[in-house]
Amino acid sequence: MARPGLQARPAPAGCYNRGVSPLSDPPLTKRQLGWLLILAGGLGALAGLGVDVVSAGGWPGLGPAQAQAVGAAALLALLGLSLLPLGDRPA
Amino acid sequence: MIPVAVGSRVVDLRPLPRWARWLSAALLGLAALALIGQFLVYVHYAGALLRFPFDYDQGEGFELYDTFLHTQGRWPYQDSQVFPFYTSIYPPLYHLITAPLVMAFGPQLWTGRLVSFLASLTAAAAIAWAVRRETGQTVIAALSGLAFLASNYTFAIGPLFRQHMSMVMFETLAIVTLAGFDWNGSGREDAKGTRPEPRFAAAWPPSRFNRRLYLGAGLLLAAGFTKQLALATALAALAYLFLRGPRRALLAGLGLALVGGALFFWIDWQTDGWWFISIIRANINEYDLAQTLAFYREWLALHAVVAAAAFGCVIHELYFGRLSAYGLWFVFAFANGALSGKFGAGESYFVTATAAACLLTGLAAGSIVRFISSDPATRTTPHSPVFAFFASLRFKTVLSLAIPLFFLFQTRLTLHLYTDGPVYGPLARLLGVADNSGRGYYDSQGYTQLGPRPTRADYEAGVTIAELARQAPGPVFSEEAAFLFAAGKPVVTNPFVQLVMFQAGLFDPAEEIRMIEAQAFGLVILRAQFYPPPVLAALGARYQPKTEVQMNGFTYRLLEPRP
Repeated sequence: MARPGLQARPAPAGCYNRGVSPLSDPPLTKRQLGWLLILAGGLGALAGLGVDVVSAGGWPGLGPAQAQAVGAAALLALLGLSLLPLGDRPA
Repeated sequence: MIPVAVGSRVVDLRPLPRWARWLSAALLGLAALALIGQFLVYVHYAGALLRFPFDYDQGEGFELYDTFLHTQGRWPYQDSQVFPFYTSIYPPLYHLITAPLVMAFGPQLWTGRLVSFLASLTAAAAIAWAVRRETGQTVIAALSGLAFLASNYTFAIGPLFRQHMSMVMFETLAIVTLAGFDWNGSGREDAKGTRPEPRFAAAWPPSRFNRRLYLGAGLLLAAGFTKQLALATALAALAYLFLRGPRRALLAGLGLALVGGALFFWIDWQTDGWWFISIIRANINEYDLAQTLAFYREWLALHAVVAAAAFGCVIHELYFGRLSAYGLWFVFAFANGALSGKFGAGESYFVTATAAACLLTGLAAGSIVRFISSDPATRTTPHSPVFAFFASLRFKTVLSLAIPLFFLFQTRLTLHLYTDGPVYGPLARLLGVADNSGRGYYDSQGYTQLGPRPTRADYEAGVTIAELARQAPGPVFSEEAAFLFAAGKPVVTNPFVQLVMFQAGLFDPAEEIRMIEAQAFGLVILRAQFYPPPVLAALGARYQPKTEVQMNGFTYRLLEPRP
């Protein structure tokens, strides 16, 4: 029989406890995932645009594959933005 | 009351009108019949290929040669600039799996074709098993697995002596193994509430690194060492683990990289570096964005229903639930289709996405069936007008009819069957389709090289070519290896590999051209002429047409030394 006072308090529905112990490995939240996607999208867009800086692109200006890559990276960042309001719900 | 068997448990559709229950059951039966019919066509096609002893798809014979080399304890990764000008650009696992059959029965193409065919069945069974596990709906699960086999792409490459389907099998098994991997120990309260406890939790004790993780990681490694394209699935699996527990995912990724890396460098050391050149550098080819977009358009058009269901599932998981391993797998596999723009890539690059989409479709359909049989009175949240509409009997009736209709529509989208013979002829006429390949075969994707059954004439053509190769003095320069096995000649060159390595600056054809100019080859057999241009030019200069043979819709040009 569980003893009152020693029983772990149940987590509220729709969220979870973070950092229960130094060894705990909590799952990502929607917000954290959102930030990760924004970071990945931003870095991806920078890398796509940076191709021209190192003169690796085969086209003058923004090439078609490059434009697609930058567009996909921007979409990824937008997707991340849309996740930020979802807060601490597990991703 | 009419119980409609839509699962292991008879789904209670009592809320629906009697006529809707009957109609739903009839439509579901029709969908099952259509998919079983497509499966029988697949079995027929596989049986025809198992009996055909020559190359059906260009490159099959070279994969047989890779397998043959493994049976002799030799690596196929070697310097292709010296005789016999051969190397392989694929990892070894599929060939090693096939090797015992080749050792037992000799270098026969049916060995690898059988392995691939069984791999496709295993992948379909894994899809069905996962849907059954997650939703409890047996019929929906079976339809999902059959929908995967009914895909034009699965059908076309399933029974070939190619490593692709074995990779898809390992990928599917890995994802199905890792999905539902939630550690329910302290600190992981998230596993409660938002997602039901996995039924198998008792069988898999909660642990940070339990057997499920090790097994899943092992299957991912197996997929990667079957074909490099599995990298996307490995990333999807690690992304899933990362969402569930970043530290564990990083450790798992590190372990996977260490084991995979150690194997990689060991093979590279064994092959004096030719493994890296053949497996990695030779696979970095020219890229055509238009080709990629064409493949995406075709896949989406042929798999519209399962693709829509998969995207719907992912969006639902992203905003209203939790991202599952299946959802992430689909996203990564669909994105990986972008590699289909590489020179030499093809529709097979979408088979993994098809598997993931079919699995997600099963999950969506299973959830809908559960929703139909649910009682709105048990909901604890207040009933809004919108909810009232979705929970209405009318809407549930529509859903109960929509599920089998969607499966039927998907089957029509990917329809492919033979159009002649006492069974297929009337059936094709009944379905309103006609031969669009010129070889007694209809495929909804239009003209396709793969799909028609080899005929008796094709077999005799192969025998003719093999006999000419046997009679030719010295080695034979052939674009397909099966003729050489049949003729008892050594396998010389791997044309497509030579071409891509030549384009990448990794292949110098000087020695090969020297032998061509010396007319060292008694016969030349060409099909697609996938050789570097200087090699083709040398062949044209030193060899002359001998004869042409038609086989499987292709013209084989046989050349002999000029006098």
